Amino acid sequence: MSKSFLKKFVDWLDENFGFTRTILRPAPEYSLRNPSYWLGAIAVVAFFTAGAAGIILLQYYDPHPDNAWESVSRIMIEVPFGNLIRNIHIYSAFSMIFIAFLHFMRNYFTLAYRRPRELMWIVGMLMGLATLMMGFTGYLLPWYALSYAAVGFGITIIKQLPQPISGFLEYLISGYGTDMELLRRFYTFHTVLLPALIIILLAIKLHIFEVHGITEPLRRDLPEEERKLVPWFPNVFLYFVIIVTTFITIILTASIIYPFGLHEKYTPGVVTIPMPEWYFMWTYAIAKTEFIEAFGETGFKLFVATLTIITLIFIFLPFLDRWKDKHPSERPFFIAIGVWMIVELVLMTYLAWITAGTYIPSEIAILSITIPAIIIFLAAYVYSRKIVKPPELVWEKFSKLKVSRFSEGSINSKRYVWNIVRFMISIMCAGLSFRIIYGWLTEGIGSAWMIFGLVLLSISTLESLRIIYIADLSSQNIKNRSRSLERWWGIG
Amino acid sequence: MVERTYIVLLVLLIVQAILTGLVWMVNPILVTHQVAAAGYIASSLLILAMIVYVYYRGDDYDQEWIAAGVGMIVLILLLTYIKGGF
Repeated sequence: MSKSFLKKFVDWLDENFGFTRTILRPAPEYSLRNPSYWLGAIAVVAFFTAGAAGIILLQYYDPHPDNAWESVSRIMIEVPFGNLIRNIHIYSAFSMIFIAFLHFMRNYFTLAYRRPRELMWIVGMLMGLATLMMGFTGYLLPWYALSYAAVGFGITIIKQLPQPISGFLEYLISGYGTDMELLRRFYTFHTVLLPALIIILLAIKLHIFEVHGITEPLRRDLPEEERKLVPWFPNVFLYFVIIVTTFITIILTASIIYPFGLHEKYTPGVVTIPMPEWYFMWTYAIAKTEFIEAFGETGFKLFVATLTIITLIFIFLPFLDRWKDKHPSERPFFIAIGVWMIVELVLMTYLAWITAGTYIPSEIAILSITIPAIIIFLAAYVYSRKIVKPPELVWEKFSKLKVSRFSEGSINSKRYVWNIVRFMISIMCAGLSFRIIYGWLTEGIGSAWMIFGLVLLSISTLESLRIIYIADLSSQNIKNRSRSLERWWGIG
Repeated sequence: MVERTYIVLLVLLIVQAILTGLVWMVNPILVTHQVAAAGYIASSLLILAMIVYVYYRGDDYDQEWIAAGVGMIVLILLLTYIKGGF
């Protein structure tokens, strides 16, 4: 094993595959220093991981109302590695939705939809909707009482759309209303139509990406060496290998920690509370607020209309945003809308979760919408008026803080092992704190435990910040960021 | 410095080979063994990420990331043991 052997092997592979002569465009150096530029690529990896696991599951799944639940149970108990593959499929699908959302929010905040990427944004939004539909259709396939009720709730939403759209969509997804038709159609959508649609949209998006390349960074004073292009092979390729393997590691570890069980089977007559998956919980929360209910069908129609309008606004954002040439730091209210949206999504999801089976009181709903809005928009106002300024050069001082790095001087094995242990303790603290907070929310464990959980969370957060700080220190990012921030605030 | 990179790569490769080999020894039906398989594969993949990282950065790799990777592998194996045994 020597470097020359490795080099020879890589050269031989390149000679055969022609990696260095690939048509894929080189990437700028700055994109390889920040994984957020590759969120879309990670979502694609999640899609293909879920697809690969899904193809294996297809061999054993029976899309019949009488057998669907039993076949999933068989996959979990009898099929070799069946339970693991099912967990990989579900976690990949969840992470695809989550990462696609992060990708969407990142592109929103960084105005990545600016010319000439308007159509890329629209294609991405359509892919996002198709991804959500993949989740919606896949949820029914194990034929749980829970998912059946949730799908019923989804169909109720569709019914509120104006005719003939609602009639057409209802027929499209549930046929004439028999269970057999419903399951078969969801199965077809989930395994054939939606994946095909996503692949077609992905091809279009990749084409546009290859034409325009990675979006320009927001920082205007980026050093020239960070702008330089590096070849797709080996630089981008190796970066991808690191990202992909780390991603799959996380999926597998999640499968170990929280493997999915099997909920109660749906049989006609069984009564259950409709409980959508976590990514649709926020819609469920809005729909079951008292004031929506008070207006009856009109209230529900209003809710669906608002949802449709918001979706359309986001799809056509590149054409509606008239100030997109301004830097995001000069548009605090635009940023505030994005932040408010994220806060509301989290808050609504939480509200839906803790009020399962009951309505959300109007005053709680109004407060949970208005209080975050007041705080966030007030902060945006303070920022825009520069009412409060940070002490001059505080960030510059922060960037000069001395944190010893491992690689300074010779290796001290004791220090190295201590750092590994420290890292492990921080991860364990994070895991334990999440478990305690989850227990506090769902199982009603005492508040003392909650405080203990928060202490653990603080320890892990501080340790994580230390690691990020060290990593940032080595790449000079903190220094550059502090300078940018000071300039934006007009004190640099 | 060059020697250190070689040693790191060699150690990682050996551990990866052992972990990958262990996957073949588990029973694919029992759920607990599937957990073990998931743990071995996850650790093995993380080692692959570290090997590629060391190779990618040459002698300039950050030891912090390697330490974090080692910590994660130990944790994953610990978790595997707690949840399903080896």
